[in-house]
Order: sequence, then C-alpha cells, then structure tokens
Amino acid sequence: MEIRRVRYGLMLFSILLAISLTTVLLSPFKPTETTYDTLKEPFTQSERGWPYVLGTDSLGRDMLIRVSHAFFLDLGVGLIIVCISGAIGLMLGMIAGYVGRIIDGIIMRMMDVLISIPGFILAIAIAATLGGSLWNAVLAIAIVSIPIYARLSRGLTLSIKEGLFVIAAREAGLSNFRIMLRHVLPHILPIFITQATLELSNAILYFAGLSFIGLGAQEPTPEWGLIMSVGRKYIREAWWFPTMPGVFMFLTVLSINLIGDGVRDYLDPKKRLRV
Amino acid sequence: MSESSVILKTISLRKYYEVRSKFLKRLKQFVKAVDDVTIEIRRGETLAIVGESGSGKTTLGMVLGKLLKPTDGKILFKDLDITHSLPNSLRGKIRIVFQDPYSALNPRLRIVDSLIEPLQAMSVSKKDAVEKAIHYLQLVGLPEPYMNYYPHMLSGGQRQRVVIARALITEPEFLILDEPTSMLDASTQAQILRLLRSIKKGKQITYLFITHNLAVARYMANRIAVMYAGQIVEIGSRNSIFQNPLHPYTRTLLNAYPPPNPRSKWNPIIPEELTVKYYENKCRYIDRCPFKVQKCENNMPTDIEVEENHYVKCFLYT
Amino acid sequence: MKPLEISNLIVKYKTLRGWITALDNVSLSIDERGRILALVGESGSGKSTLGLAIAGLLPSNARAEGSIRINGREALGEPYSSKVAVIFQDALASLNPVLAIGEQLAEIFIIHEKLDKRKAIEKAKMFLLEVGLPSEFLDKYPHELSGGQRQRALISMALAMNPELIIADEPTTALDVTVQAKVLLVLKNLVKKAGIPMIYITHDIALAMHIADAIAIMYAGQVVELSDKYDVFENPLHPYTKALLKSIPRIDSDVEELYVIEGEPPSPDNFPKGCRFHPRCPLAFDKCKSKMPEVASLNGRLVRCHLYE
Repeated sequence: MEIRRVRYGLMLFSILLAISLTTVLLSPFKPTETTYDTLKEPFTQSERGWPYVLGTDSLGRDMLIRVSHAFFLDLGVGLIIVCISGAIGLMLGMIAGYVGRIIDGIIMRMMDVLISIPGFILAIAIAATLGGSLWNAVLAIAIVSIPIYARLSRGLTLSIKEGLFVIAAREAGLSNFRIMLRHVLPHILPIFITQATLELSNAILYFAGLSFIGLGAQEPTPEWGLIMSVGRKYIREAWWFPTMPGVFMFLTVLSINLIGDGVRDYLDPKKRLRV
Repeated sequence: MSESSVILKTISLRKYYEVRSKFLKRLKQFVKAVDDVTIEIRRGETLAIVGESGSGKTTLGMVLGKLLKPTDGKILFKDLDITHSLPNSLRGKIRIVFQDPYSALNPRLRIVDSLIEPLQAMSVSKKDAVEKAIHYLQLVGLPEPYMNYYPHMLSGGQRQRVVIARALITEPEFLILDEPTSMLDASTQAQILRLLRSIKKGKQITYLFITHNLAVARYMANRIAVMYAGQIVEIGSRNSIFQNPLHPYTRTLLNAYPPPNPRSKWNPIIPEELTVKYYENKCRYIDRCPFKVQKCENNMPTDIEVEENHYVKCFLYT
Repeated sequence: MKPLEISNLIVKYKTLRGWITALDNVSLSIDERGRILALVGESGSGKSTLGLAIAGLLPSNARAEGSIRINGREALGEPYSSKVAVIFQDALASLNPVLAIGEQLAEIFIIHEKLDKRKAIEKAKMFLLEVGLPSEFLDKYPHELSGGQRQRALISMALAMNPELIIADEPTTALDVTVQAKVLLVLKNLVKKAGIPMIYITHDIALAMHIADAIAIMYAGQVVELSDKYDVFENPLHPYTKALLKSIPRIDSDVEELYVIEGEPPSPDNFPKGCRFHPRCPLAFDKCKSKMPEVASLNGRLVRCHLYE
C-alpha cells in the first residue's frame, strides 16, 4: 500500500521534473524576456519555433518557461528552508532533550513562544519587518519552522536517551557532546529526515504564500505565488495566467507529500511487526 | 583487618527518589531505594548483593558506579572521597558491566569502536586503544576478526563478553556487575561466570556482583549481602550465610529456590507479597515477618554481629 | 485414551529468509490425567512453539504437520478452544485492563456454564480464594495487582474454564524468586487437585524438577530426552541433559567449577547436520556428524542419541 503511494508520487514528480528540465534546457524563450505577444492563449504559435504551450502573461512572457523556472526556484528555496530550520531545530531539540533541566526549559519555552503565533502570520510579520525580499522570506519561514523540528528532535532524543547503550556511553566516561554526536544523533537522524521531508511541501507553500502577498520573491523573478498574484486580475480574459502556476504547485506539493507519506509509513516500526 | 585492604567504603549512603503524593503537594513520599547503607568492600573479594525487585540493589550499583548522585552519605574509594565526583586519577578505575547485552552496545558501531570508547574518553590515542581492544577481546575469548563485526552478528553470550571487555579495557580496580547473566541461557551463563572467575584470578580486581539469584551468588561470591527495602538486612561470608541464615527474609529467600534434586523437599512458606514500605521507625520486613514481636513495631533494627563478620538487622538476635 | 498424544509433529515458519523448522518430528505424550509434563529447553529449542501448537495458537505464517490428539480428538490445525487453557508469561497483557478481576472470572462462568450473574460472582469469589486472593480482589483491576497476584488470577481463570489440558508457558519467569515459589506451588496444588494434565514450559530445570512428574528436554527443535523426573536427575541419558545438570549453579551445595558447554544453542535457521548437539557434545563420534539419531526407547524412557541405538 505504502509502496504504491511512493510509486505514484515518484511518477508524478518525475513527470513534473522532466517537463521543467526539458523546458529550461530546450525552450527558446527566456523567463524574463518581455514580448508583444501578451496574454496569448495556450498553444498559440510564436515566432521562435515553439508554441506558447501554456500561453503568455501580461508582459508577453511564455508561461511554461516561467513556471518551469519557478519549479526549481520553489523547490530549491523549500530545501534551503528545510535544511536551515531542520539543522537548527535538530540541534536545539537534541540539546534540550539530552541535557534537560534548565536548558530544556529555556529552549522549549522559546519554541513555545514561536509556536503560539500562527506560523504564516508570524512569517508575514517577520518578513514585513525585514522588508519583503526573497532571502528575507526564507529567513522568516525558517525561523517560524524551527519549533516543529525542535519538538520532534527532542522527543526522539528523550526516547533514545534511556537506552542502555547511551547509559553505557555515560558510564564509559564520554562527554555529553560526544554522546550526542555518536550515539543519539545517528539514531534520530533517519526518522528526523523522514519527518523533515514532509515539511518540505509546507515550506514551499509558505514561500509561495509570502510571495503572493508581495513579501517574498519580487518581479521579475519567476515564482509560483508571485505569478498567481499578478495574474489574479486577468483571470477572466486569460484564465491560464493565474491557473497554470497553481496547478503546477499543487501537483508538485502533492507528489512530495505522497512520497513522504509513503516513506514514513513504510519506515513505521509498528508496521514492521506484520512481517 | 587493616584499613588499607578496604578498597571501597560507604558511610550512611542514601539514594531517595521523590514520589508526588496524590493529594496535590501535601505529603512528600520517598522511595528510599538505598537507605543508610554502610559497607566496606575488601580488595580482591567478590561481594554479592542479593535482593529481589525493589530491594535497591541495582540503584546501589548505579550510585557506586557514579551513574547516579547519592542523596546523602559518603563514598570513599581507597580513602579518597568520591561522593560528588571522581577525580581524574581514578578515571576508569570503577566500571560497570550491565545486564542486557542486547541493548548495551550501540547497534551502529562496530565492536572495535564500542571497545575503544572508554579509552578515547580518557584521551588515549586511537592506535594504543585499538591494540588494547584486541588484547581484551582475546582475553574474553573472542578472536580478532570480531573487531569488525556489528553487534547483531553476535550471539547474546558473545555480546556480553564484549561488554565485559569494554569494562576491563580501562583496567579497573573495582568492577560492578549488575546481573550480568540474567538474560542469558543456562549454558551461556556458565561460560560467562567461568570467564569472570578466571579474569579475577589473573588480576588484582574486586567484584561487586549484583544478582537476584542466590545460587549464582553462592558460586561466585566470598561474601553475600542481602538487601530488602533499601537496607542491607544481613551480610556475612558465603559459608555463614548458607549454613546459618539469620534474617527471616534471608531464610525465606533461600527456601524459595527449588533445589535441582527432585527428591529434596521443597515446601517453602512464602508470605503474601505486599508493597514494600519504607518505614522509618519500625522494621521494614514487619508486614511479612512470621517472627515479629512488639519491639519490631516501635524500633528500626540496627546491625548486630551474631558471629564473626556476620551481621544482621533483626531484633531476634538481641 | 491419553489426555495428550503428539506424534511426529513438525512446525515450520515462513520468514523473509524462507521456511525455517522450529519443531522437527516431536513425539511425546501425557498418559494419565493429573500428570504434569515439563518442557525444558534453552532458546531456539522450540519449547514455546510446541505449547502454541498444542493450544492452536500458532501465528498465521506457521505450518504444522503430524498429529496432536487431546483425549483422542485430533487438535492439529484446530483453532484455539476453551478446552486447552493457556497461561502466558505476561499476565498484564493477558488480562483485560478495563474489567475488574472478578468480572473477568465471572464472565467465564456466565458463558461456559450459563450461570446467572450473581452465582457467577459467587463462584468467582471461590476460585479467587483458591489461589489465595481474598474477596476484596473481586473488584480490583489488573494494574492494581502485583505481578504474582496477577499470575494467580490468570491461574484461576485457566482453571475456571475447566479445560482438558493446561499449558503454562514460563508463567513465573518474570517474577521475583519468592513470588515465583508461591505462584508455582499454588499452580501445582490446584492442577493436581483438579486432576487436569498440564504442560509446563520453562528454561529452569530445577523448577521443572519440583513442579513436574516427567520432564522432556528439548534442544534445537527436538525432544532429546523424556523421562520420569527422578530418572532425569539421577541417571540422565542424553549428553546434553548431563551437561545441563552439571552447568547450573547450585543453591543447595558448593560447586567447585561449573561444567561449561562450549558454544551456544543453535538458532532455527542454522541447525547443524546430523545430530544437532554434536558440535558441543563431549561424546560425539563420526556417526553423530552426519546422521540424525532416531528416538530410542529404554524402559519407557525416550532418548535421541546414537549412544543408545
């Protein structure tokens, strides 16, 4: 069951990846090049050899090339966000969980403060304060995402901490740092990474969201949320303008979720007992 | 007995755990896992600590092994106060062998890496550490190729040998063994016990052997201490404990083991099992003791030397 | 009609690595009601599998062949029924945590004997008293009981089913020694009193000597010796039995040196060729390495060893 899900997810993702990659490599259009062919319907012929497969936007730019570049941008940004907040959350949670007591209290209360405000709203606030730009949006979302990872990492650490080999490591005289590095980290990393992958789609959605309201990627950068935002007012004359990026984003996020869900369920120790 | 032959001494050692009482924060209840334990362990002996669950024997081992901090009292190692911390000169001199060989080794580390860890923590170079690892691995009866194996490739008995090698690698003078064979098959147990005895013959080392199995204690120990509810209720040489068990609990414990000979009579009278209560001003065995008298209800018994070096905490012997 | 007769029982498990044989041609019997047979073995011996097979509780990836007759009736392949009562090691998992002990016990009488609730509770009270649990235990929940008390409650439930056979699978292994002794004696007395035959599975041969009438020594999926307990202790036949008896620490005497059986018990995916004990046997000779010994009968004693063929 889980394998099927992963398979569909992988298939879908590969298709999207293939489309985007081919387009970026072979398309005669450039994502920021404006032309006079504004708001053309999908599959309208162009003078460059390729048709405008997904139509053009209000500045005559080919939708397909823009959406394809956005694929890599959003994916890349999502990965960066996950890596930054994941790494920080992992370390904070592990230290809080292993060292415990006061440090645990301080770290987790900080996390509680962050969690108490709805993530997106807080991200908006931080991005707005720093000034809307791509990297500020990345920073804002990373900050807002840390608590989830910290909580996860702390929980995993707590469950490993009482394992006999960890106690044995303490008995052998290893320092807390070495124990966390050699004994705790390798054990929590696999599960942590699996959970983190599920957060990837969230990161992408947040980023697209911030860009949609103008606090993320800025024109002329091709980014799904941004394109949708600009294309909103053209929805009646040029439905493809806001819709295409939305569809692409939806499918990409869906495929990531399928893969992540499937992998997580497959690795779930409770399922293992069935063997 | 001169002072210098005592390797480890405890004075009124206590380890209490706080238990939140049901009625908010009113009454502070304590689990007195180790309560007022004063013992002297002699260099080169094997002292067995025998008790059932709740006796505090494992906690005592953890406290002496410096994995738990005592609530009160003192621990002296070769006359040095190690109650609060272990001085650098004594690092690696007190080691513990754990009960469960299946979880005592990190499954992701090769045997050699697990073995050298205690030495690396003492800043020994990797090369020297690996050499020592080979030596001790062979000492416990495993050939050198095992260095590169992972724990799951080893059987329970083999893993326990690795655990023992890991404990010996820092050349401890005092080894705490917490039920080292309870999770092993009978035939494997014999191997490990024989190994432990042979190691002792070759080295200057003292064992604190924690076990619930009196038969194993009989085989391994020079002296036996019986624990109940955090206290050592009887302590004496192996022979005196088995030939002349004094405390009612010791007697019950002895009778509870079925002798292997089917023709031997086995009709132990076992009192009802009740939760262990940590009374302050009466004998803690009072709820189960068939010999209790008025005095037992009003006073806590203290050590009485009934025969040479055989002590018991019981009013029957005043 | 024998209470239990097992002939040529083979049990295999399907695993990721293929089929492994947990029980290989096991034959044994309990000849009279009220007899207790102990199955003694170390890990990999198959003793627990044998218990499950008799009770009809083998997991879905197991296949069994041969014959298990309980009071003449073929029970192999039959699902679990109340005619065989099983007492497991983990009492907490065997009891319903949300029902009081008295209720769980009464339920048995309500279902099996069609008693009304009041009479069922009365009977439950009696049964609990038999195992040494006074009437206040009727309303207690499993988590309120100590380990030994829970095990005794399980015993009373097993007896309440009025089974034709009881299988006890290491019921006292997780308990303290004093508690174990108490539970064991309660079990033995009640089972003998009711005259129900019992199979007692354990790794502790000393325990087996006092609870059972006959002992079957199991090694690597086979029965290697089966005799009256006095014979097993005083005159063990199989080299493994002899070695086992010499390798256990004694509570009743000082032992100079424990006898050590080299090596470890083999696991089912790795049984040696020929006699399964030969790599560890001090008396092994050439035949032992290639040919599997058949079960020989010596004055009613069974032993599987080339020395006795």
